[in-house]
Amino acid sequence: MIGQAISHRSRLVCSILSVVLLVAGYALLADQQHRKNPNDRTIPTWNQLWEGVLYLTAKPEVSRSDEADLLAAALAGAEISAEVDSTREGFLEHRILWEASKATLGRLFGGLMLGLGLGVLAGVLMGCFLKLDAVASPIMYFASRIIPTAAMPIFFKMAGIDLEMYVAMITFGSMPIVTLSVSQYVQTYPCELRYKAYTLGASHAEVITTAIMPGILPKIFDLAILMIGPALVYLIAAEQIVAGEGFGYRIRVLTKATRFEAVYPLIVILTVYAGAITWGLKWLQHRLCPWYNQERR
Amino acid sequence: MTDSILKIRQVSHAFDDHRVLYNVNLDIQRGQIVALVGPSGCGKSTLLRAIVGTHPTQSGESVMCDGAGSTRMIREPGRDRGIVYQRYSLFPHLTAQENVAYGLQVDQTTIASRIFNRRRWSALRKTHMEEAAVMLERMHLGSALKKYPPELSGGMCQRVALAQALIMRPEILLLDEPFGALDEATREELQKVLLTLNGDAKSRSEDASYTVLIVTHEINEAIYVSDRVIGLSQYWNWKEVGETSSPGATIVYDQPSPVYSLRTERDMLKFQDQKDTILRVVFEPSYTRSWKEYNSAVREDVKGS
Repeated sequence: MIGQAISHRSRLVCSILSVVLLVAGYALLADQQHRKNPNDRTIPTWNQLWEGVLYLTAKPEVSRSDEADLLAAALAGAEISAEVDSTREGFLEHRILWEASKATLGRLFGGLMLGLGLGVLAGVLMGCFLKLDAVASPIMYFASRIIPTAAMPIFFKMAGIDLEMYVAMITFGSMPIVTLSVSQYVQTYPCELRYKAYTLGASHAEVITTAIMPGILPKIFDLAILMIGPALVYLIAAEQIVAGEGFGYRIRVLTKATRFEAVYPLIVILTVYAGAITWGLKWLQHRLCPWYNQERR
Repeated sequence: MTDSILKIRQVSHAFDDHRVLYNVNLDIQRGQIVALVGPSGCGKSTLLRAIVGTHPTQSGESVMCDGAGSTRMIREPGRDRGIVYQRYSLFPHLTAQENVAYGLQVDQTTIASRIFNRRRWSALRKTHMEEAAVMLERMHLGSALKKYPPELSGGMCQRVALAQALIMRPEILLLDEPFGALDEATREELQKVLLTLNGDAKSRSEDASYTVLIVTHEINEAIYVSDRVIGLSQYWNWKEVGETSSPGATIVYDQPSPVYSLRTERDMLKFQDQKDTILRVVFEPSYTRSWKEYNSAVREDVKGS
């Protein structure tokens, strides 16, 4: 029957089975590929992937400037020959994964926070004051249709290629959508509850801060979760073009050097980061809006 | 001198070409429980929204009066009118206790005082929560203090909503089909709650009794809960006022109803006559007599036609 419930145990078994099938399928594919070409790096074996992970987590012996030269050479088609000491213990600093994570996540958080903050503020104002909505919504609607990656040259020109550019791009990419969505949430907030708040003695500001905002807060969390995907798309695309550090930059360079044993772990780690942020936001939503989960149940 | 709390004078309203209310005049006295009944689409909700102040009518005036004789025109929702709706009766993000305490908090404090005077705010909040708990206990909801609205049944939600409105001691409590979505048993239970609360208040002092305007489509409920039934209907002889097409609904029935208490055995046969009359005069499309026929409140100064 459609929509028939399944037990937690069945769900767990099915989930584990899907992961096992995925891993087994990959192993089979990699094995077949390496039978044909033992030097293949496009579908690396588990051992090669482990080497890739060690490469990402080791402290390179080459300096940043040397590394830049080597990577430039790689981009020009030469094979990277620099040695890295993959067994060396030490601090996180200068390790590829740490540096890339720091750069990408910093840009992502900066852009998302600013985009969400400004979007929520503008959305609440537009939702509460419909004249403002009438003025701003056509602009916001138009802005929400602009593809930030297509407008990247404008961002380069206006904000350079430093952190500000990435933050501006994610903000510009997410803010119009957040604004329009939040404005809709506010406008569809039950008018009965607004009127009730007034009859109980609330001022305009109190209706917004004590009734509407807490009421739409869980939806803002849902929106933030939804915005992670597009924000990462904009960011990785920009990093692949102009960055000197970050996941996008590393993926581009390593792909050019055909080092897929390091590219795959990078993609997986990036996915894990996105999943962790999603989980963190869901946890916050659950903690701050316990009523929302009961409402949906 | 009459002790009116709400005066509605010559209120008419239309949505574009569709005329909904025609020359509605109504006085509600302090301490009365008034039921407003009428067929679907007769403008009950339009009239109620005008009284709440969210949707002022196109002509006429709605005025709140206080005991000292001063009057206030109703132009927007205000603290003097409590409202309980059929849907969205509670703030979903607050527990039952917080919902009841909400009004006390926003009425007695400001955003600035809650931010900058934390000590006073926390003491006040504690008092408000205690008052809310007492109110909910009176509603037999002591076990539901910490529950969120989605965890409560429809009947419990409406009881919390009643407590939320009553704790503010509004000058008039407006109930918009508050028990409409409930099953028969829960509806009766809540009607009894309303009667009990009013009975308790009256037993303390005449001034402490509640003034209530309840909008309902359930005639039994109207007769049982209220002490005055008002029928708003579009079916009346509008030709007598010189109109060539229906000008909208007006009050065609205004009669006292038997005052029941919880100790009174509920005997529906006892007011079957009144029910039949209301059905005929208010709900029957073919019954188009003068609006004055069953309108005991007709006075020369409010006729307006």
